[in-house]
Amino acid sequence: MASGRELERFFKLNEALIAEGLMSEDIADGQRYEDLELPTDWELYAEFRLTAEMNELYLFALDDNNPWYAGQSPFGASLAHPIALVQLGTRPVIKQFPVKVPAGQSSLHAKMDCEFLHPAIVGEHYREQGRLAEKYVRRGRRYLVTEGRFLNGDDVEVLRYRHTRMVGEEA
Amino acid sequence: MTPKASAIRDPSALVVSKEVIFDKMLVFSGYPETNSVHTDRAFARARGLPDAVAQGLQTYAYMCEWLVEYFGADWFQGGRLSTAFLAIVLPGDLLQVKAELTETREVAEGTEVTVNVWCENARADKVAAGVATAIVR
Repeated sequence: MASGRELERFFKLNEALIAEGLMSEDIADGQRYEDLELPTDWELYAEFRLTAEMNELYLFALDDNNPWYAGQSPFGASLAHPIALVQLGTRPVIKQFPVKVPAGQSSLHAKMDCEFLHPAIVGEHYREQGRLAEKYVRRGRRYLVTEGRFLNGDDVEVLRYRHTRMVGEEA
Repeated sequence: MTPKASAIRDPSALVVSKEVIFDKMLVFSGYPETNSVHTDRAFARARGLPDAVAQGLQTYAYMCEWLVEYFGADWFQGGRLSTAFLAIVLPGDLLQVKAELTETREVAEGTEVTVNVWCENARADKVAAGVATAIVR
């Protein structure tokens, strides 16, 4: 059972991360879907150091007790939880491409595709590039695909993802 | 020396079980940010949902836990998971991640293993399902 003190500590960390632009609210207003032009160029949208405390937030939230994330791993230092970079980094890209969702409807995360290319290590600095990659309509539902890739301090690509969300139905 | 396909573990023997706890959804999804169906129960209900819903990425993370347990360190060197989110996940849901082997293929670095992996709730409804691949070295 989570203690109130633990929760308070992670809520404060969330506040700090949101203030840094790493997590932000879903945006349900913006350009008309029909007007979105894509694919966009790859741009740098986030840059941060993944601290042990940020990693711990995900271990706590997910009840994942794998010792590789908090101590030694087969790669030496502690590994970033696989979801840490993804959760911190999807919204900084999504919020670059706000789209109007029809009234009474909401956007839904429909698909996620990640490639874990190289071990991501806690304490390292990461840069995230992203782009709006694709849009399509299927069974009357409108979908938007954003892509991101994370590079570590040595410019090695550690993670690539494709995030698909349904942004409402056709009129 | 690369492992032979016959040495690949049976994935059906491994199950990751999770209880979805609202407090932990809050931590995962950025509370005290509100105006979100993931962190604000009243906001979610006003939008026709039965309660706050867990983020798809939370379910995706549970599937990753299964994959790390199954593939070990190999998962972090080229593992790939492609998932579709099929149903909402609510506070109190009991989830299980399961998988089945679909293909093994010898490649230069080892054996490429592909599994169908899914997350199901206590009613055995799949809430997310996908395909994962990694090279076992």
